[in-house]
Amino acid sequence: MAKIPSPEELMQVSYDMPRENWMDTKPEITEGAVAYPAKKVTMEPLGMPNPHDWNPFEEDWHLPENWEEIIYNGLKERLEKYRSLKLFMDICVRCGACADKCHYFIGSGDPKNMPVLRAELLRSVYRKDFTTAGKILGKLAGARKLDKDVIKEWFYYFYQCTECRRCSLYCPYGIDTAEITMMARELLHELGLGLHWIMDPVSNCNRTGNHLGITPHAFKEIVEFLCEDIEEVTGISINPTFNEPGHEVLFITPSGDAFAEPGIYTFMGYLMLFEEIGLDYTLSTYASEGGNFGLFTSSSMMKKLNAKMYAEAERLGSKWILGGECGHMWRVINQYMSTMNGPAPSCMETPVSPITGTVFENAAETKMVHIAEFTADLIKHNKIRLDPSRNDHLNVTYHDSCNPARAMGLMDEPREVLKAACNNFYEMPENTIREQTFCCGAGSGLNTDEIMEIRMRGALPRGNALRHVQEKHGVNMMSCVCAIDRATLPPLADYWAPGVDVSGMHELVANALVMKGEKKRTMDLRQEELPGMEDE
Amino acid sequence: MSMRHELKAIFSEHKQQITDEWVAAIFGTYDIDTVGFLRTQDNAFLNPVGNKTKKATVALIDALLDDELDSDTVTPAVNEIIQVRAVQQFEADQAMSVLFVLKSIIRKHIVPKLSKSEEFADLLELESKIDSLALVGFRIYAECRDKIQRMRVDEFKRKHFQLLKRAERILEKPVGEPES
Ligand code: SF4
Ligand code: SF4
Repeated sequence: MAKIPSPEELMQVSYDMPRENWMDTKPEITEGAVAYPAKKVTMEPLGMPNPHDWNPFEEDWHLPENWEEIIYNGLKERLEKYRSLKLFMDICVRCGACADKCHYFIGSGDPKNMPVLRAELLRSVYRKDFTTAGKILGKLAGARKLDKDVIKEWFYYFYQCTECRRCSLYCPYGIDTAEITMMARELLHELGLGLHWIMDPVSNCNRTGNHLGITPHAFKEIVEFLCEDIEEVTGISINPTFNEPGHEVLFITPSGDAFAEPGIYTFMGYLMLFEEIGLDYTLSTYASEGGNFGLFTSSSMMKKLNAKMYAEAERLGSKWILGGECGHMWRVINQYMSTMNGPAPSCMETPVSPITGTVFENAAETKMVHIAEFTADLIKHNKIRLDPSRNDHLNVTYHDSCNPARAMGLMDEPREVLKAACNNFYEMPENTIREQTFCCGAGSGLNTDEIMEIRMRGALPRGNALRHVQEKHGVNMMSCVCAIDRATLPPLADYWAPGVDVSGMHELVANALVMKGEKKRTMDLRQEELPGMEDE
Repeated sequence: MSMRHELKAIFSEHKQQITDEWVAAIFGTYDIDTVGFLRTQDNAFLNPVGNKTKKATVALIDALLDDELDSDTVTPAVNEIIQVRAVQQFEADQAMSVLFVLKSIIRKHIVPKLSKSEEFADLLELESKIDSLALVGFRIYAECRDKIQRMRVDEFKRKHFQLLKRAERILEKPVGEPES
């Protein structure tokens, strides 16, 4: 007979629980606890090391024979290559300032989601093999032997870090756990261990230039659908050019904006804005993706996928690149692009807004401007006409995406734009926005549905702050400048603050945009009736 | 029928202790290294689980002291506790156990103080109210799990919105399925 446990037994209520050392507890890897693995057929053509088929829910992950040597050499190589990694490994004093700053810790209550312990998963192995104290004292010096369970634990916890860098904001030494996670993921990739959700888009990007693997003619067709919808709403017909040389600007945005709801309304917004100001631009069907899941794979993959931006700018003779609303794309551009793919092709120049004459000195190196800056500048110089009352049925808040906020300091421009486009704007609580923003819970390639529960845990701090403004101010729209957010925030809102919708910034801009020759707007870009402006 | 005076008085007298123990028991379902944080970080936005739990338990204990359980108070409070647990690493019974355990905590404090059989009858009535809370919790738990399932489907549709549209137009097999 199996006894059914009482509530007390289920809750394991016991106040003198034996305290195990964190090193001795192991994660349970069951369905829903980790995302699905990348397949051999995906990994092999990409030249990823040790491609193999494996199942995380089985005991044997079929690691290569010499897996320990691979990790040892891989870590050694990275310690030599990146002084930051060596520093991050050495200088943590375990002060705990970062411990309660991670959305996954806050939402899950799992102590190994404390950034300090997450980093310790790698650091303990580093100590064992690369420090004298660790070699001699072992566990006493916080060192531990590398075994297969450690690898499983890495896979479990380094894919419960969205590389959001909230923790690093609070570390007195500036230790960046996100970079530690990147290194750990690189090491896992050395063993042939990756996520399907990350490697599939990487593979598609590598082939066709975008995450869904859409071919040029289909990409063009899909953008043309959006133009039809714009005409329906505004009466204005827009015909963007594709792959046409000789335009001043190349526009690159995450493909999610072209393919996915609600990003498409933001894409329509870009097209309408460009039409209205007469921007001389073209779209590329090859650089048809601003996003770069190489960032979540390895530095070499990131570099490879990013190269298409300059390659297309060069082929098309563009002077500068205007980039769409994206998060991690801008981390790549702002922090790594000029080192990785620079210098920019010689045809490119420091971006100057053709409408306002503003020189974007901040983009002198990369020649790439974020559209939030571009539009904020147009608004500041009164170059576009906005009728914010068209957004009066919306009470809008703004979610700072981790990367634009913490990796490029883009915090005021989106707010300026939103306040110009909407009359009702409300901030979420101070400790959840700007630099301190909470992640959507599914960045860095974790936006896959088999780990929806994990995502919702990570989404709790953001969702909770959202619900607060929903209750207090009647907020019914959360705007953002990130394509991953436009995919991850709808379920977040659905679960934690049902009734709040999600939009990109340029969707709201375009709804308010008064265009020359437009018909009376009775619908918004979603083709829903605008309250108070219905047809008589 | 409402709780008679005596039991209500005994319950009220132990209200604080009962609430504290209940909160401690709920926090106790998390790793010991997490409990301190749940207990001490008072900012509602930095510690949503701890703060939701504290607020909801107070609201529910007060609701139990009322003559009738008011759904408008009870449902959101139970939701605060269960919605979080429905996505955390708990099995369904572990997630729900935190409501049932209140019975044992109340008994522990109240039974030694009871003398008359009517008071015991009142206690049973109080326990029935806790059963009602558990039923509300059960419904919320099921709704949360259903919602998670629905969110998966909705997400697929959003992601492939344009491709589905294109597929419709050219009347071919749907393109863009994630797996082949
Ligand atoms: S805040 Fe910095 S030094 Fe302190 S524990 Fe975290 S990583 Fe280590
Ligand atoms: S980078 Fe973000 S997700 Fe990763 S440990 Fe730090 S706070 Fe958590």
